[in-house]
Amino acid sequence: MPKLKMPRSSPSLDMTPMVDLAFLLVTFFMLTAQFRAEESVIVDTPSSQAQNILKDKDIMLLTIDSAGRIFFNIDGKEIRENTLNEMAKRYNLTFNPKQIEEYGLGQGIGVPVNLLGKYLDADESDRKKMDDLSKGIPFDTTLDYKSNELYSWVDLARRMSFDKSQSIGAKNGLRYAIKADGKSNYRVVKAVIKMFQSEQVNVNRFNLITDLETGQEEK
Amino acid sequence: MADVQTGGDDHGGGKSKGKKRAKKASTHIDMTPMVDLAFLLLTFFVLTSTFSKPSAMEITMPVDDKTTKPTKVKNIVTILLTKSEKEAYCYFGELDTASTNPFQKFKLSAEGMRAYLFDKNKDAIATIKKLKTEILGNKSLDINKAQEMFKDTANAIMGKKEALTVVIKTTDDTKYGTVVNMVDEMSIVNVGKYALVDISETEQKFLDTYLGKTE
Repeated sequence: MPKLKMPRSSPSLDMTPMVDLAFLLVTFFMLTAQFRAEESVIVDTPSSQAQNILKDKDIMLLTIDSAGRIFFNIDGKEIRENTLNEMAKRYNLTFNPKQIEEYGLGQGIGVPVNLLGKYLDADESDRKKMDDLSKGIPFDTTLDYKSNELYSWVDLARRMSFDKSQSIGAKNGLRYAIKADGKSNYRVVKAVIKMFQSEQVNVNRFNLITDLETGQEEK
Repeated sequence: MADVQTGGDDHGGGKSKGKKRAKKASTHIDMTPMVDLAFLLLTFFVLTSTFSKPSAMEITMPVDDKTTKPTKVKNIVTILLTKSEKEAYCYFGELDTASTNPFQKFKLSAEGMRAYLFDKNKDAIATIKKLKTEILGNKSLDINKAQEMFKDTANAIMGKKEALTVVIKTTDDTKYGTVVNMVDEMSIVNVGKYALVDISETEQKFLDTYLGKTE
């Protein structure tokens, strides 16, 4: 019998299934990915076992970092732009259309309103610098809008949001979320909550944003 | 790949020096760069995508209404959270102002505070546990319906007048994380009635002397 010569097999494999799989996964991740929204401040929230997932619509978000600085954010371009216009009226400021547009698109802010124009004109890196230097939105325990800008933001944004939901007949009200750093002083959070509970605002229900706690079993 | 050579070639698989045949262009493309790219993208999306939306803990604060009168509640635990993230002080019932040391000190851990609250609330926990096996173990019920039913009855038990009430008080230097952990603890030990309240002057005084003593 002649020696059976095995055909020399090529060292390259058929990569087609692997490529198929890779692209399938790429497509999946591309379609499901939600990019982390650019945040003006990094906050390390405490963990909890709360399972409610916060919807990302109709949210007023107050971020409090470990130093107790407060950042204000609300979603919805129209609401944001209207709020800014009202703020301009209240504090006798003027914002040009470009700044208003920029604010409508943008993220949470943590600068005093008189610096906001400059902030909105600045580019990404300058904003970062301003955020770092800022002491957050001016806030104190009075309800005087001159010294308590946070109250103005909350108050006006609420009105704008209410007007909008009235005009489109939406039922869902605004939700109020507080995202505070675990190391921040509870006193600040308490003061913010107190402001919300005042007669003028009258909000008593809050969402405290937390990380989901893992690995702890119920007894 | 495995090319099949057919006919006309005397030398089998060997390289023939005879008639030269036009080489068949291979239909295979080198896919390596494409695969590299695919995996690069894959890695990028895996690492950047956030699956979990942040979870939120819903709290309802008591309305600050001056017309409501304070009610006498018997089964009440007051927890005082201080600057420390590890320890808390607590007392049961009313503050014993005659005592020099009315507080009990607990570690904020499963063995400390949680065990204490478990013990105080063991009746409710036992009832809820029994209910859970009863309702959720009942195969004739629809699972969603059963879950809802369980939730409602559990809430009713936790909201009873004689159910354990926890009052969480904070000082000026309490960390937010400590408060959140404590509120979270309430859901673990099935306490439905809890409130976040300001510390009273007497309590603050006791706490000051107590902390002054230990430090």
